[in-house]
Amino acid sequence: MASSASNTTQRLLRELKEYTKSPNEVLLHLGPVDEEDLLRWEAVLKGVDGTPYEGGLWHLRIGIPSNYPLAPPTIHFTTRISHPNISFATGEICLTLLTTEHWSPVYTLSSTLTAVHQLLTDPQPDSPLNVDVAALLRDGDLPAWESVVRYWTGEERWQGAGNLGR
Amino acid sequence: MDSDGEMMSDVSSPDDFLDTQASDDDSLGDGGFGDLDTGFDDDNDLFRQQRNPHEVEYKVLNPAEVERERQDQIAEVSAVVGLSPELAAVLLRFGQWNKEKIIEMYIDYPERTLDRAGVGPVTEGRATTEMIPGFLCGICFDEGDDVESYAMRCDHRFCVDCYRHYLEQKIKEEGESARIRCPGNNCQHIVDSQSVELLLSGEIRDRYHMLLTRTYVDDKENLRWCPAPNCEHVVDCSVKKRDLRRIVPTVQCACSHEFCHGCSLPDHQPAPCTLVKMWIKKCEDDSETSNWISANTKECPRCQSTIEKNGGCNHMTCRKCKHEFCWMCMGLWAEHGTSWYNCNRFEEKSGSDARSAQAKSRASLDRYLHYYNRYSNHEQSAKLDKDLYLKTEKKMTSLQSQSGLSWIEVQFLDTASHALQQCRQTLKWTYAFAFYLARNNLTEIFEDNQKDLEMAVENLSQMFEKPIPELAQLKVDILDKTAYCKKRRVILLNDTAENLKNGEWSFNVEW
Repeated sequence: MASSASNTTQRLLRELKEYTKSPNEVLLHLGPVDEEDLLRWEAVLKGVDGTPYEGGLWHLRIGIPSNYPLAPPTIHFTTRISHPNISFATGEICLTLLTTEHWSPVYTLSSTLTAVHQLLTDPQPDSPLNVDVAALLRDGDLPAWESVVRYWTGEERWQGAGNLGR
Repeated sequence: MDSDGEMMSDVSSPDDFLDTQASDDDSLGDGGFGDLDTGFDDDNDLFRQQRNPHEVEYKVLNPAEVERERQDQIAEVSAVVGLSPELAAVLLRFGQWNKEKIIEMYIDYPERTLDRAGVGPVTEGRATTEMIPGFLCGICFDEGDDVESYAMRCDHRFCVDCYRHYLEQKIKEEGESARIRCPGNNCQHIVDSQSVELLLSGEIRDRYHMLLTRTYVDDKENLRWCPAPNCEHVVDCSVKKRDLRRIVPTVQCACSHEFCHGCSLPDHQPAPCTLVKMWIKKCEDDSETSNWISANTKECPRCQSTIEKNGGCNHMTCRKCKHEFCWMCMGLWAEHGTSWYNCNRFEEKSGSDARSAQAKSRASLDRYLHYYNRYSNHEQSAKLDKDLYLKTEKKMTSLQSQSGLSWIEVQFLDTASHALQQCRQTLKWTYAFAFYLARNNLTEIFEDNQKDLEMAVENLSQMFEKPIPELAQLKVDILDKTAYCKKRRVILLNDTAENLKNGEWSFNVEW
């Protein structure tokens, strides 16, 4: 598998080039944390207008396996977010796309983050990682759900363009 | 050692049966008595070729035979439905190798079946790699007119290198074979063996085929891998899952490992699989801890705190709620007055309910321990028997040199040791089985059989401990006892198996 490492590097470089050429509108930023290490990326995700996540900004940490794109990246929210399928404490995301069985090498980091963005508007309260907020949604208490989400979106909003790359 | 005539003549006296058996080495094996029709009354059945009630029909297959069987089925379906063998194989895997169902489904709804199986519309032509002008690989983003690429019928085209890496990852790292999907986004197309053949070679292709065979065995209900380490054989037995309530399908692999075809655990006759699982779980569980607590402690009648009385008088004052009560009758201490040191108000109502609940749980703990001790005792002994087996080998060698017996002549020790292990294994499970049996006349017979086998086993075990010089003289005796043990085991197993099959047992649990 000697060639796999260079394949991975090549692919990541191309993804980076592709992203600079046509950025993803759901992202404020996407790129390697450190130019020395292509296997650690970071991203800043934008909120969705017209939803309680409106106006939010979240920082995400992306770990890339050495056999990428054959295996999926691991993505965590480092900014706390209140969402049924995202762990409030660890930032872990529950998304089938990110599991080995459902991952397809055709996905890019950019398109994967679009899928994460879609998860914001389309929560799945039946397989929750954050049980408290999922319970609100499942019980149909939308006003409560909205205000909890809005509160954390504002409270925890990522603020530091200057911190990127650190 | 030609004892046939001798045996025939001794038949008339059933009491001498065992001696007769013992004098013949062959009798220790299972075969060789097919023609022996006279005498022996019912004992006769035990040594006939025909199956005993506790035995099931099965066949041991080696890897080549399994592969041949698989190919035959693919060829058959391929011929009937008119698809290429590769596609027929994908269909069969999708339908868990239920030939009839697959053929029927395909004939009724060809397109839908192909679609659901991940084959998609069938087009003509063999799979090849191509170079297409202006091609861009969606995985590595390589582009160019000279990039060799491959696509299945779903037309998701990727460069050969990426396809190859993808397949290698699936086969090597994830152990996938029959259900590898097209690398395309959300594409349900299954990668067929033709594509794998085209793209991969060498070791990885062999591994793919090995995994395919493995899923074949895993998919088919009648096939099961021998669970023994490093054994590659497969056992074919037609006992269905739903029959496991009535049959304990014990099989012996070509590697001589005996196991249950229903659950892969080592031979657990006479207990059926479900009871075995319940028993193992019970033994592992902490549930018995709670049984101990309820048997050895009492609860404060007011605040329900658990109290273990470790000395002192019967006048209890709960540490927690200060409730005063009598340990004997659990009634209020105040009812006793000051002069009641010893409780003689045994039938007083206030305490009788608490007492009966406790007595019940104590009895149930005793009962469990009774069976568990015997179960684990045989398990322990069986482990010791393994050491014994190793010692036996040494003994056999030294016996050869000390007594001048030939290798063949000392084989009786090996036979005896094997019988001992097998009987202990059976005995062990009779106790787990008995734990779940509701008492009736049948259990009386069962316990008698159990007792007989246990005595026979202990007698044989004792002989085994004798010093080496004596062993040669004891040969006849050991052969005797070995044969007797085996016979007792078969009697017990046949009796339980027959009752199980006919649904005669009644159990004290739902299963």
